[in-house]
Amino acid sequence: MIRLIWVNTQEWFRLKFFQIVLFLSFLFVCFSQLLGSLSFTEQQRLVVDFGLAGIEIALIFIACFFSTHSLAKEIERKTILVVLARPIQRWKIIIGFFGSLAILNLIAAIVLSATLYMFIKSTGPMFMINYILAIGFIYLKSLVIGSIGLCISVIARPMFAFVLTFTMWLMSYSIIEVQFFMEKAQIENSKQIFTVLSTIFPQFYKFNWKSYGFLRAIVNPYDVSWALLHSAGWILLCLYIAAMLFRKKEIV
Amino acid sequence: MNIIKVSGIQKSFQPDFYKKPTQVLKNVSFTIPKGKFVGLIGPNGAGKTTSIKCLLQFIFPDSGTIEFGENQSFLEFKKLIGYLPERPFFQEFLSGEEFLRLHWDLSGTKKDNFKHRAAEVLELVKLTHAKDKKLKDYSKGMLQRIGIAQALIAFPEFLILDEPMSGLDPDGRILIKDILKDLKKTNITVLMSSHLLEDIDELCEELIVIHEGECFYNASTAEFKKNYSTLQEAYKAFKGQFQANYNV
Repeated sequence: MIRLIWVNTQEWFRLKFFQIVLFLSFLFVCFSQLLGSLSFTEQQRLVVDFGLAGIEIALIFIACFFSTHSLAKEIERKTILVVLARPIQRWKIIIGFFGSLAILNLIAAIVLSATLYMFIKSTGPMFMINYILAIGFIYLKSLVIGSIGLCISVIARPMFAFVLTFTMWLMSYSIIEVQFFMEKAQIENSKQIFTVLSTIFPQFYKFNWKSYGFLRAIVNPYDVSWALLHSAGWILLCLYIAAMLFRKKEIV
Repeated sequence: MNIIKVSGIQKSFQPDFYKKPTQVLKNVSFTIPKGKFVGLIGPNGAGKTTSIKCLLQFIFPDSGTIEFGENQSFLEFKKLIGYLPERPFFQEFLSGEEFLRLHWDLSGTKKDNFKHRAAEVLELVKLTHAKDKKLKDYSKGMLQRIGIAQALIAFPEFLILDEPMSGLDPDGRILIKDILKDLKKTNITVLMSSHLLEDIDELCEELIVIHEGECFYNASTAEFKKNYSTLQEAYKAFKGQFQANYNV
C-alpha cells in the first residue's frame, strides 16, 4: 500500500495541474503581503485573513480535484487493472489514494504556510500555536473534503463528483446562514431542516479559524477536540462508504 | 487437477438505466487444468475478455460460480496470478524497473531479492537496456514486453494473457512466442486469449471456444482439430456448423 501511495503521489506531483495550483496559491499568498502594505493600521489583519483564505481555497481545490479525478483516471486509462489483479484488497486502493492526497496537501500546506508565516512575522508579533492550529484545521478540512470526493467519485463521473464535492464544502460553511434566513422567513419546520442539513454536511462553520481574530484569541481545548473528532469522524465514515462501494464496483 | 473451474456464469451489461441489458455471457462453463497452456478463442464480442474479467473479479457474474485452486479464497489465489491486460496501459511516468518494483511490492512476494528477479525478467523480455527509460518512451512492442515482465515478476503459477500478440510486429511476436515456449518447460499454467489461431495452435494443448457468450468447446486442441490439418481449418468448420445449426 505504501508503494501505491508513493506512486500516486509521484504521478500527481508531476502533473502540471498541481504545480500550477501551487504556484497560483503562492502568488495569492504573496498578494496578501501587497494588500497588507496598503494599510497602516490593519496590515497584519489583512495579511492573515487574505493569506489563510488563499491557503484554504488552494488546499480545498487540490482535494476536490485529486479525489474526484484520481480513481476515475485510473479506471479510464485501465491502469487499475494490473493493480487489481495483484493480491491487494480493494479498500487498500482507496486508502492509497487518500494517503497520496494527504501527502500532496501536506506539501502544499507546508510551502504556503511557511511563506505566509514570513509575511505575518514581518508585520508584527504573532501567536505561533494559534497559527499552527489554524493551518492544521485548514489541512484537516481539506482531508474531509478529499474523503467526501473519493466517496462520490466511486459512483459518479469526475466532473459531477467535483461539483458535488465543492458544493459540500460551500454548504459546510453556509448552513448557518441558511438557518438564519429560514428563521427570518419564518419557514415551517426550519429547526428540523437545519438538523437534517447539519447531519448531511460537515459543520466547518463551527471551526472557521482562518482569521486574524482567532490568532489573537485564547483557544478553547473543548472546541479543538470537537473539531478534531468531527473531522476524523467524517473522514472515517466517507472512507468506509467509499471502500464499501468500491468493493462491488465493476471495472468494465 | 484444475486450477480454475467455471460453472454456468452469466453476465449482462446495462449501458444506461433506460436501455435494455445486453447479455454478454449466457452460459459459460470451463475448467483450466493445472500446468497446461489453454487457448481462449472466439470472434470479437464473443465474451473472451468478459470471461477473463470475471475470473479476475474486475466484474461480477450475475449467476454461476468460479472455484479457485483447492478452494482457496480469491485473495490467496491472486498471489499465484500474473496478468497481462488486452491493452498495455501502464503508469507511463515510471521507468521499466520502477514499474516492476511497484508490482513486486504489490504482490508481496518474499521469494527472491527484487534486483535479482527484475534483472532476470528484464533479460527474458530483452528489455535490460531500457530498464531506466520511462514507459512513455516505450514503443507498443516494448510495452507489451514490459507487461509480460510485470506478469512474471512475482513467480506466478497461473498466467492470464489477454491478446498478448496484438499489435506486435513480427519480431515482437516471435520474441513473445519464444518466451511462452520457454515458460512451457516449467510447470506454469497459462490462459491465453487470442485471435491468432496459428499461435494458439502452436502453443496451447487445451482449447476453450466461446461464441456469442456460450462456451462450445473445452478440451484438447488436438481433439478439436483431429480431422483437419490446422486449427484455422478446424475453427472454420466449427463456425460453419454453428451457423448452420443456429441459422445465423
